[in-house]
Amino acid sequence: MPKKPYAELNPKEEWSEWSPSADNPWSRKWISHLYRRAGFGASREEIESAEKIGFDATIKKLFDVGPEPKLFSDDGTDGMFIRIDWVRRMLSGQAPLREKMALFWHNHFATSVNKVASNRAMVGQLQLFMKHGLSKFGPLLQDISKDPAMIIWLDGNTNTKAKPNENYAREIMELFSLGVGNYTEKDIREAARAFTGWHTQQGRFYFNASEHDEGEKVFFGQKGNWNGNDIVDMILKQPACPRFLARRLYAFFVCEEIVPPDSFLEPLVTELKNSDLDIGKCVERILRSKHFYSEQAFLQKIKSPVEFVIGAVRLLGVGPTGRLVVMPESLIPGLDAMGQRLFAPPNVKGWEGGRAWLSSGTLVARSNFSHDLAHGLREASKEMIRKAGGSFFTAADPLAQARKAGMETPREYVEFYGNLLIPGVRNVSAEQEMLKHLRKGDDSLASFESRVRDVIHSFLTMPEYQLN
Amino acid sequence: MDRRNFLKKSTLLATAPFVPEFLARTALAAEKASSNDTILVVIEMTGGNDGLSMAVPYTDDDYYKARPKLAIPKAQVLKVTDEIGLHPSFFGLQNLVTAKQLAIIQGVGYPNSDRSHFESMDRWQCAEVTKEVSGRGWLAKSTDGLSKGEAVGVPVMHVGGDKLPMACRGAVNGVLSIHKAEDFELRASEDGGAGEKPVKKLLADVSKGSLDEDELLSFVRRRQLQTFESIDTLKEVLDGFKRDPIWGRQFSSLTGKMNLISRLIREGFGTRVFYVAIDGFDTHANQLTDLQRLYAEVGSAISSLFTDLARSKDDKRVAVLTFSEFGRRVAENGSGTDHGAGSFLLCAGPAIKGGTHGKRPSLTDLDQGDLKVTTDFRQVYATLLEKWLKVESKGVLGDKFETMNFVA
Repeated sequence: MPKKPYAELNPKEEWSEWSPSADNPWSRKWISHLYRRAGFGASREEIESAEKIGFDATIKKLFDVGPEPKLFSDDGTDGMFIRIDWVRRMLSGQAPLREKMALFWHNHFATSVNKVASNRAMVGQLQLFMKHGLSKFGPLLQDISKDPAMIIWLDGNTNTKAKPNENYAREIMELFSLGVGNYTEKDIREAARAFTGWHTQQGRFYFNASEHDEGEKVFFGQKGNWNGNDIVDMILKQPACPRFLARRLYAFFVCEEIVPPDSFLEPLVTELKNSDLDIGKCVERILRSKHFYSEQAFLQKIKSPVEFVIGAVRLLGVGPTGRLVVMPESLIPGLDAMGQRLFAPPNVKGWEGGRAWLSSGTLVARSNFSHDLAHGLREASKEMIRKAGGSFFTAADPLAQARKAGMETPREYVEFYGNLLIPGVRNVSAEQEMLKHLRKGDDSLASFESRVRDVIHSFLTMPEYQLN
Repeated sequence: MDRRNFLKKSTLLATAPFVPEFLARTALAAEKASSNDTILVVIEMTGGNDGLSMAVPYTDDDYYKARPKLAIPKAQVLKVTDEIGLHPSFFGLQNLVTAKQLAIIQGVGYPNSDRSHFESMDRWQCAEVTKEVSGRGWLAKSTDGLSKGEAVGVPVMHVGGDKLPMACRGAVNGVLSIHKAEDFELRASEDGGAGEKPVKKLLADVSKGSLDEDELLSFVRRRQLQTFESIDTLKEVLDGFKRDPIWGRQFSSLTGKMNLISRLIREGFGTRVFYVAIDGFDTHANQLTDLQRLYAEVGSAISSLFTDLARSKDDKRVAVLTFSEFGRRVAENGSGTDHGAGSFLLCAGPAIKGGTHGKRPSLTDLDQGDLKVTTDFRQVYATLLEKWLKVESKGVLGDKFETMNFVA
């Protein structure tokens, strides 16, 4: 629940541009918040750099995503290597906002390799998200309608003139663009006819003219011999479309606990309408807004497993030199146990997200991952090596940074990690427990360090840390 | 291991100052035997099960007309009544059919049913038919009623690795989700380190804090404490399950999950409602082969549960209900069927009255190509709540619904 009811907020004011002030400065708290939402968490260096260059320049830097990368793929059918490669890119910190938007769209157009059974097709789809993810929605929706992975996923190949298959026609409106209540069952049947013959052949889109229904269709009350492109164009013109996108972006970047009233989202909807559904513009509006840098947004989301894992590793998965040493492949089993297997969302609606991320089982998985990361993945290594087929892995040394920064006493360690992992949050009684833990036991360095690692483990399991 | 030992082994219960109330009640429950409590096992058939393939109207010519490719030949069905028979892949249920312990509830749904998987599933799970559902599941809403009388600590349990189904969401306490044994293996000890106990204590201690300042944070705190306090107990049952030479390896199958449920029932865990899901019923294509496999799995899971429970005579206090978010169109689309209305449910158990229940929807008098709904799904829930689980249904369903006769 948000701190204040939406009715008490002035939408215009909330969505106007924030400027840091003496009361609410551009600080670690907001830098970490921004990087958690617009990326996968900031490394220590990124936090320090953002502090230096300031708010405006940090936002500009996030949106300066550079040329579209050519993604790796292979001939596999289980998504494994492409999954590892995506995790690698997320860890790298290059163009984090583009990667985050790709994840947003992957969840939006949720398609699973479990049915598509082609890494190339899945990467082909991801490439669309990299290309269009921060620009206009129209070309993305057109391209996704011809995307081979999507066609296989929603049974496009069985959508024929004689027997239209409604799967894609329904989901493009319900889940991808308009939402329930903004079309009729008849619109679905007619749209399905317009998409007949949109098939794949040898992994590519193929227009099967002999299976395409050339008859007249009535869609949103308009008569004509519509094809799939026409349907997409008509969908894009529906007033429900920008509203639907604004809600989705709000849930992803700000808060997914409840859907705010339309009146509150109106400035975002207008932004989308006036820019021909430019997603980047809307995202920038959100990330620069007063609302985003307020308690209405701060820690009002649950970290997804990807956010939890990548964020923790970017901060702690470092070796003695401070460089990232944790291998991306070693993170896959943990992500699986926490319930997020990239390229394999549970169904076409994507991961449920929010509170559903936390069950007894996934909480234990989060704790166990935290244990492994804090202790340098030592104990788990045997089993993990077996699971991953042998190629493992450098132990992280999360203590290195603190030592380098000159931390010595128990209190210094607790403050150091608190400031690093949950900036802007204090939990005094938890800190007391951590101090107690550090102070009891023998004085040997090895024993003390092991207890510091326990404290790092416990920071990552804190309920506060599960929040984003 | 008997029930008393099994629950008392969790030393945390005796010592932790922060035991959530529901677990304290579990410990209390261990003092009494509660072998008379009825139990419901709910199987979600995810994706929109084709009722006409599951419960085949094998004497109806219109059925064979509507389904030239997908109809089940008359000779193959397992006859339940003179008009309706089960899909042949349900061979596992033959004993229940013969004993007249398998009920088929026909044409179930709600007015103006929604054909979106997610909208419709939410309504079934919350037992609400309004456009926006509350997000509180009907089983979560039943937890208070289920805990009355003989105390029960975890009245509702979801078994499986997926997210907690909405039906179980929204209860403050008393709902757990369990998966494989390793999920409950909390790693906390290190060579030369502080040792397992102090670390586990630290993890529990840092989870504490105010439970009313921030709603989302309080939710995480509660869930975390509930987890830390209950894992030792659950781990024991799951370890036993894991050592089982057959089912320990097959947890992902529905039958494997049923085996675990059977263990929890026989060992007196005290849970009243178990929830499992099996996905794959969205048969827009390849319906024939997909349903063969899925129905065989559902059938053998149900039959193995009852066979297993019969050994300890616990079968008598168990009923199984299947449901799906909607049925499918009457006309086929080639190799499959699209989203429709009018779901068919199975309810099985020694206390269940076999045969068909509810009015059979016509195959020709359709609503936009779909079966007409003849029974409100909340009547099914009301029947199970009132007559089987002995829970006052109005508090759960928000209204009084006429009960049906499939529970004696």
